[in-house]
Amino acid sequence: MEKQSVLDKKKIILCIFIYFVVTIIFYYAAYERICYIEYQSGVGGSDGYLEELSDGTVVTQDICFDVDYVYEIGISVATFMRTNTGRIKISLEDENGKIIAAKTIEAEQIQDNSVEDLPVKKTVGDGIYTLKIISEGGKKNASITLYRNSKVNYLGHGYSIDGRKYKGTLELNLCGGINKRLSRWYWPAVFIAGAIMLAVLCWTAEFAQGGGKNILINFLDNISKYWFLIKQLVSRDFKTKYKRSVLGICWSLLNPIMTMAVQYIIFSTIFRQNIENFPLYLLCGSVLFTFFTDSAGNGLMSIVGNASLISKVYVPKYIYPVSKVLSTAINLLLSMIPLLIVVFVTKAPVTKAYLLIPFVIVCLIVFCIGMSFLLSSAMVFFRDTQFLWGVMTILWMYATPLFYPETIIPEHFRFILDLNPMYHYVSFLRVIMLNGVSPYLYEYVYCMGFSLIALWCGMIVYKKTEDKFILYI
Amino acid sequence: MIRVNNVSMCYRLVNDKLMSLKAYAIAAAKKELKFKEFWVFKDVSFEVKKGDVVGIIGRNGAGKSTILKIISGVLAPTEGNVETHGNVVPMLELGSGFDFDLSGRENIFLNGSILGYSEKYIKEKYDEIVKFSELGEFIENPLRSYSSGMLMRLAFSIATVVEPEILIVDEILAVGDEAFQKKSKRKMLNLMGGGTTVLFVSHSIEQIREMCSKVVWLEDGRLRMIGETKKVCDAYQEFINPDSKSNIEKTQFDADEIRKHCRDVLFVYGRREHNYYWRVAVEREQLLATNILSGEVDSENLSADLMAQFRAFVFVECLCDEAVLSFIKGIKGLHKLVLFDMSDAEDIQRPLLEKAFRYVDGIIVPDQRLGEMYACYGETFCNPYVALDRIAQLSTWASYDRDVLPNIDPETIRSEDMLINYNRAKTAKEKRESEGYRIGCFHVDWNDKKYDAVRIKIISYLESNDTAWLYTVCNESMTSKLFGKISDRVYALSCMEWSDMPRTYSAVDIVLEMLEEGRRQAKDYCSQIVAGLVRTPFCIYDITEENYHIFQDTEKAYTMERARLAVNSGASLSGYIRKRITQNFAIVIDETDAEVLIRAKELAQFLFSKGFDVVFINENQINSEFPVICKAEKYINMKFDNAIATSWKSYCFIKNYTDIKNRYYLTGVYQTDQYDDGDYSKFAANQTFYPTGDIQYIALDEKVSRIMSERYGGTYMTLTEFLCGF
Repeated sequence: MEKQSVLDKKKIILCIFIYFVVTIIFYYAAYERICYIEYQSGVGGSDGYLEELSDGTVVTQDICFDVDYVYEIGISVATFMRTNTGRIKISLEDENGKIIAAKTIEAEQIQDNSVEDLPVKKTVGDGIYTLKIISEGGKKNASITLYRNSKVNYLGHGYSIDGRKYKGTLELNLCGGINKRLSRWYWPAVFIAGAIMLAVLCWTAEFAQGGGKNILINFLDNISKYWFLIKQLVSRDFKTKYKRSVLGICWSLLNPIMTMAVQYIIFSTIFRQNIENFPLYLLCGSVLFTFFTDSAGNGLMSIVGNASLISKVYVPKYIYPVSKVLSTAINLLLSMIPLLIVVFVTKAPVTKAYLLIPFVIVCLIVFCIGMSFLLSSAMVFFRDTQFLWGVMTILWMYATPLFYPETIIPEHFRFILDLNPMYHYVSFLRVIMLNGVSPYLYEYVYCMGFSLIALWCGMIVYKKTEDKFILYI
Repeated sequence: MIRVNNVSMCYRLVNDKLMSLKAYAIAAAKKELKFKEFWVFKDVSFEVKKGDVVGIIGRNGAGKSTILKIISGVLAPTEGNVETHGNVVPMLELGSGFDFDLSGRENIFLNGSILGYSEKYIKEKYDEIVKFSELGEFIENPLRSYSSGMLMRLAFSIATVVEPEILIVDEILAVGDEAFQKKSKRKMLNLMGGGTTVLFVSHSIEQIREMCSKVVWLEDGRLRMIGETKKVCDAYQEFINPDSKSNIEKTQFDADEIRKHCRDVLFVYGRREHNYYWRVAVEREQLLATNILSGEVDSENLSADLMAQFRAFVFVECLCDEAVLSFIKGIKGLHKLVLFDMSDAEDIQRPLLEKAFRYVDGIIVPDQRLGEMYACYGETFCNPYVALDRIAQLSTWASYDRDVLPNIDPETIRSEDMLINYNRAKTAKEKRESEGYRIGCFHVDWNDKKYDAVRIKIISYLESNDTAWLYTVCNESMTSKLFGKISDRVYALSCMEWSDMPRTYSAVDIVLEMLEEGRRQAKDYCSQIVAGLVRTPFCIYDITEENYHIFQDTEKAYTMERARLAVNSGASLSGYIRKRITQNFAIVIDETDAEVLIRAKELAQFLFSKGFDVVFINENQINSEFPVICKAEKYINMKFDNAIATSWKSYCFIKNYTDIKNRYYLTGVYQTDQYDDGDYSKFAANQTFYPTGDIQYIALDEKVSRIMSERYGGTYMTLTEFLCGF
């Protein structure tokens, strides 16, 4: 029987193709993050406010941006602690008087001492831009006003009210990015990496033809040999999960929705939190976290539960945790459907950043596989692990901001969040779904890093212990 | 093809099972983590060439299964390594990884993928698998609806559809019904003949001889022998057999020993001279006919150690004294059966019954009327032999060889027939009392060996009846030789003389008549009562060449029928007792040594004859060798009172059934060196690895018991001791 090569031309081409597709999508979806360094500046504290902005008042503020890209401009407003009338129109004009961003806000909806954002999302030049705030229909003693700082001339310009100039600056927060020139290096780097990859693949293919072995060949060998088994085990787990229940697969959709509904009712009425689009905020967290607990829980039992198989047939033992995690991952994919439904119902913006969701899911799956390796081998030797893990999961759940805003965690405990992988995965998804932008680049590193560390640890522990499993299960 | 290089397997045993983190941490902190090494085998090396069919033999615990597992890659050896070239298909257990919620079709793919087949291959062979398994449309049904035979057929079909280069087989040669067994065996032989390298473990040495070209013998942790099938098998059998042969001869469970310790029913008499004696004697004889042994004791001789020896107690005419009462209470503490024999309302033991009624299980009464009357004290059981309206007839027959006349007031006899019978019996008795017994045996050629049985019967009868004597046609000089010390009571008659004998004594026709009558009645009454009382009056024989067979056949047939009817209808005392004392036994056989297997079979027969329900359970296959064998899954919901494991693997099976009251482990010498094959975890080389408390060990004989307690400590009762408990 001729041995079929694990790596042929077709596969190499496919690899390279996928690589380029991924890099292109990434470039497109995370453009802002690739090209700009996040930069925030502002006036930093006010020492008073303007007079009431009644109907027809026009406030202008000239701005000379110190950034290359403006994401949004925040304006501090005050209401005199009362319900006001009318509305304000905020707009940003460039040197030529062309409006590049505008927004209208009803005065009624403005809360005292809040910051109103004017989204811009534009590249800006060196010229002077004008921020114009026009009040319309504000009655006397029922209009809002703006905070100002009379000492600082922000960016060297004063503000004016109805054409009259004043010293000082409106209290502004600028959120933008400085061009870090990374974009210039992105494509060359992608091509060089692609070329290296191609070379390695070709060399390996040649090497494999000659009967050689290395990590990559072993890996591909294993995959091609056991892919069918993994597929079967995954489909078995998935098929039997809801077998003999009336609603069957619908539970995969209903479960997250119902959990979210319950949490929503509890946390939006009893423990009121001021979080924008709370349902989506909740569901993002709970979908990912449920996947994590489910897959880790399933993975935990994967060796002990398959004892009869392990002691009768030789199959690489990593298959069991991996198949458990993958079958749970199918559930995760299904529960993305209710997530999307909530997105549409709450009218959250669907942006190109959504293309980045697969990244966090893949990272999470890898992380879960690593955890399953650790847990399942621990379980073989100490059956206490399952109970310990039950408690750990609850602790972990509360340590992750799933239904409370992350801001309630005091700054000096912040490191807990930073060290919590689940926090990073959840916030990654939230940034995409709630803010509609790509997360910062370091978040990608965090997510990937945690996954790889977990996988690496898991693999080492597993490798060391797997031969002894059979003696203990 | 396969090269086994210096493979050693060692299980490191922590002194106690430390399965929890806390226990482990504490032990580690105290530095008390002691490990004990157990080497299953050391330095085993052999080579298997392409196309060889290699059998592995050895006692249980020799490491046969372990080496198969090492070769198939399931276990990693402690030292050494195994090289295999070619794809290995392990058939260590059929149907690994079946999922009972999925359909047969889905399971074919699942199980196939576990066995390492590719998707394409399974799709190609799918039809072949379904066809071979004979499942037809059932293939779309979920597996939980399958019978055990169907499951095994499916599993076998999947496992053997490949033509692997190396096949590893652990006792799965025959599954399903007979036809399928043939088919599967043929398939196996085809595989083996088709150039596949086969490694094969079996407890059946015949199978090994039949199929293997080479045999590996593992013994005492090393490779004892390797080579040609015949040579190794002969050596092995020689090694095994001398021991086992002597054991088997020695057993039959030391039946006498058991009889001494263990009987079923004890009759306690208050006043033995009283008329009940006859009736109880009938009951006892009837018990004997159905293999239930009884004993008797006078109430003043009751002692506590009798309690443990019997399973049921019948109190007859006992007065209500404290000793008897406390004895009855003591019995109940042991959960044995207490029965009272009551005749009528004025019965002498009624005060006793009233005091003891809480401890009474059943009451034997002569008729329904009394049954109703005593129903308040316990379950009543109407013994038809003492029913008034049958008594006269019965008494007639009884009177022939018993010096008892039914103790019955002639005034109470209602029908005229019965009175006549009664009077006949009375006359016969009086006459006999005046003359002593006479036994007539004529037309018998005593030199013919055929009549030895008759002669022995007569001799034993004469020995127990001082007043009886024998008339027979016999050469006078032969009598002392033939009849030994009772020859002075043997009267040799000439042919002329015997024709003058009264008709009664030449009564082969009486024998036949009585047997006929008894049978007719047995049939008439079998639904409610058994007229099994008709006993062959063997003191009267007119045995000639031509009617000898009548004597033999009728007696045998009649005894059988009597026993059968009595037990089946449950109307007899024995049937009643048997019903009440029946417990069920599960004997689990799986990877059981041949020697233990033989004993287990004997044990089952013995228990069955004692009225226990016995079922054999074999986890994997159905073996037609045994009378009652069922596949394990069918018994998942059955409640067992007792279960006997015959190997470590089978113990692991029964320990899952929480309903079992008593667990036993029947063990041969080498039985302990086994590891838990059901759960694959606890290696049981040491007593500490046996779960204590809920299992009792039965050793095959005293030798095994001694060796075991020397080696591992603990107590091991012998098989005889075990049986004495029943």
